[in-house]
Amino acid sequence: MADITEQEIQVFVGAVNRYFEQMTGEKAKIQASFLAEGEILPPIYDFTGLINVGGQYQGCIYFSASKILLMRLLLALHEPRQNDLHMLDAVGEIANTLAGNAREYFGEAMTISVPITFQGASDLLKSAVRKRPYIIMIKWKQYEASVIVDVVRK
Amino acid sequence: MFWELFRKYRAIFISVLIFFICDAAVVTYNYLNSSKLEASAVSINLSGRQRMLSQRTTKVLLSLQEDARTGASQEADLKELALVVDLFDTTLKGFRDGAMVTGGDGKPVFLVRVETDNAHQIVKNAYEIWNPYLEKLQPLLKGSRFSSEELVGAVSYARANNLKLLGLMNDLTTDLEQSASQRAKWLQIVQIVFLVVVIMNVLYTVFKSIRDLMEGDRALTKARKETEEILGTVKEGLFLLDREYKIGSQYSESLKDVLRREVAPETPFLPILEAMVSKEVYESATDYIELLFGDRVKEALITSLNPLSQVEVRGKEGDSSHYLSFNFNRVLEGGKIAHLLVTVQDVTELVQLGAQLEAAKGLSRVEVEVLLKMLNTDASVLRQFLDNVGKGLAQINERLRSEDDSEQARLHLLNHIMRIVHGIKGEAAALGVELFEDYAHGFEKELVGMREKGEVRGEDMVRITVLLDGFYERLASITNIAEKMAGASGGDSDAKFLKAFTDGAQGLVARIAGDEQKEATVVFDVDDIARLPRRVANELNSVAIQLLRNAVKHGIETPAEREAQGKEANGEIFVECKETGRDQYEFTVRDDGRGISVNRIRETLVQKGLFTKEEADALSVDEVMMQLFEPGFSTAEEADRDAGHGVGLDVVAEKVMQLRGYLTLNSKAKAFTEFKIHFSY
Repeated sequence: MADITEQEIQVFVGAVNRYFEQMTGEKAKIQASFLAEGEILPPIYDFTGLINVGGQYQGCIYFSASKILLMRLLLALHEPRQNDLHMLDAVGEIANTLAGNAREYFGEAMTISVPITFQGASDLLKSAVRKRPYIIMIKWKQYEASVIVDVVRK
Repeated sequence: MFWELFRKYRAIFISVLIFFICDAAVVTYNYLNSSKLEASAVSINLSGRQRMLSQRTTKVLLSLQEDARTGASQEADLKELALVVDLFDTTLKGFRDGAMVTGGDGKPVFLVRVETDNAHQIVKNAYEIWNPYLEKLQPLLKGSRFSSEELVGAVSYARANNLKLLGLMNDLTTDLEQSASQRAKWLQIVQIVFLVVVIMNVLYTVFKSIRDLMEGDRALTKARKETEEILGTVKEGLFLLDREYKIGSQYSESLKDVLRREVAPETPFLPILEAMVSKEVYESATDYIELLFGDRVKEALITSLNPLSQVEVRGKEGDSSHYLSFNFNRVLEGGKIAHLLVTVQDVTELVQLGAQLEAAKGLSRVEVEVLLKMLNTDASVLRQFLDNVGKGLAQINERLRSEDDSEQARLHLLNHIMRIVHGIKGEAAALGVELFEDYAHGFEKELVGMREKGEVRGEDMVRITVLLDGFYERLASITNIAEKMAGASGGDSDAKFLKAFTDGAQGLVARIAGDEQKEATVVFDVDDIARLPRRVANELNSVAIQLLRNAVKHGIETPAEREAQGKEANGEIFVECKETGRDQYEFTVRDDGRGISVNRIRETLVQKGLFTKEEADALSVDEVMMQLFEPGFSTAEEADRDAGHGVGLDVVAEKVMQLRGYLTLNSKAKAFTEFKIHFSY
């Protein structure tokens, strides 16, 4: 199984970081990057947005963020309503940004699903394709989120 | 649209045009000619009347003579004479010049002048007779007061010229009749020509149309035959999908084989698809097809969304699943999307080949190399090595989770990772797994590059993670081979372990010496190492690797230098492991090289900006020596895979700490350097 490259991973991370910068004017930064290996499991926060990919690739990429980060994000976006639905919308929009950037970068080589959002843990995350999915921890203001890249090249 | 029709049916258009032009020409010609024929009829009629008038004139004159003889009233004859003469004269003028005359029915009619030369001559000759005749008639036309001589003169002239005038009028009539007959003949010819042209035109059009239709039929039959041949031969499933998502009437023979299902014309496609793929794929596919039928989205933009470009398909009961690739292309009619052309391919073999290729790739050079090594090496040494690598990588990953993203913390993290990677590199070198060693070296170089930039960015952390994953991948494939080969390697023994230890060390020294153009041999006295637990022995092996590397790189001089100092050209490194007491051991690595230059270390510390010159000078010899064990210290001018990254002695120090031992360092300029590790277990 061939592997995805660092540059390809950076496409996803860059998309999330740019989203925060463009929407809120404040950059998000990479706090840590490691592998889900052995007992180290991918961190899943309160809300998650996921896209499945196909074509010459297989797997999924997801963005998971805590409630507090999303509340702060909605505030920065001048969204007065901050219920769970709006938070799901917010992670969905970030997942959509991920999809858009991926589509632009990979073109026809990668088919991308419509973003799926969910609250809490989900069975959708169990079918990992990588032995060690990439976990990139993002920090925006003082809040944490994670981008998990579980994609292989077919 | 019109031009398209015109191009297609050009022959018919031209034929119809020719027909209309001919028709118009003949109608015009007919119209013009019939006017002339009408005029000719008038002329013929009036020329006939002239004959009659010439005779009546003579007759009236004779009647007047008889009236004079009998004394009867002449009034009626004179009146008739006036009428007849006037009629003859105006008509003759009409023949000469063209004029309005009194027609046969008493109504005015236009008499055209004669056209032929012959007729002109006839009219001229008639005037030559008529003019004197008219002159003689003048006294009679004025009324009853004329003399008998004047009457006799007129009668005599009439008798003399009556037949001549009649003959001329006859000739005129004949000439006019001939002209009219000629014109009628021309009209007939023109009409016949037109008829022929029209018939030919119609025949041409009919033949051409029949020929075109036959050609069209032939082409259509040929096209249909070719389409049938294509659809019958092509391996892909081809069909048209209409807006109601039904399969069209024409589809390739292989469609049912590719889909592994029966297909009939007008079969709804979606139920077939639904039975083959998962619910999610089915829903995405219906969305995609709907998008393709919509006019708003460009086809090329959504091609990447095709969820069926390579899809696993459920087989029917008892059949295994397979992979299909569906491609959809819009078919336009008049600029509107009429159908989708669907191409289906069975890509199962392709997918399986891909998987096999990937599996074959797995057995890379590294693995072959390891395999060969294992046949000659103690399996436990390799297992221990792989175990160490696994632990090292896990340590790196654990450290990468650190949330402290301060500059200092990241540099510290980098140094730690470098030590681990360097350790792995050394062990790989000792085992002779060069490609593994190379990967570690590449990893190390990346880390050095980051450290030299002075800041470690978030992106660098991702880079390290990717490199780490690459390491894991290599480890996994080698471990896999090692496990498979464990049974075949024949187990381990002390002798085999010792051989692996000494061979590994000897090989490493020979390689580095070769690279450095130096000569060096290792002398071993390490039998006691076999008594140690393998875990400890492996740790010592790691230490030996780093110290041997340093000894050749920094200690042993070039043959020329050595000879200049009165030494043997070939340097010697002595490696010893001795049990000094109950479970007490000493592990020694000593080289007979140039020794450690305290001043050179001081210079390096200043050059690297770690100390000012004053601070460096103020350091005691022991303090200077201690700097050798700091991360990042190296006196090598250029980094290569054996030295220069400042990782080595800090690895040794760490291993000694893990063995809960201590290290002593002795050195004499131009004589030797000796590292001694004291430990117990």
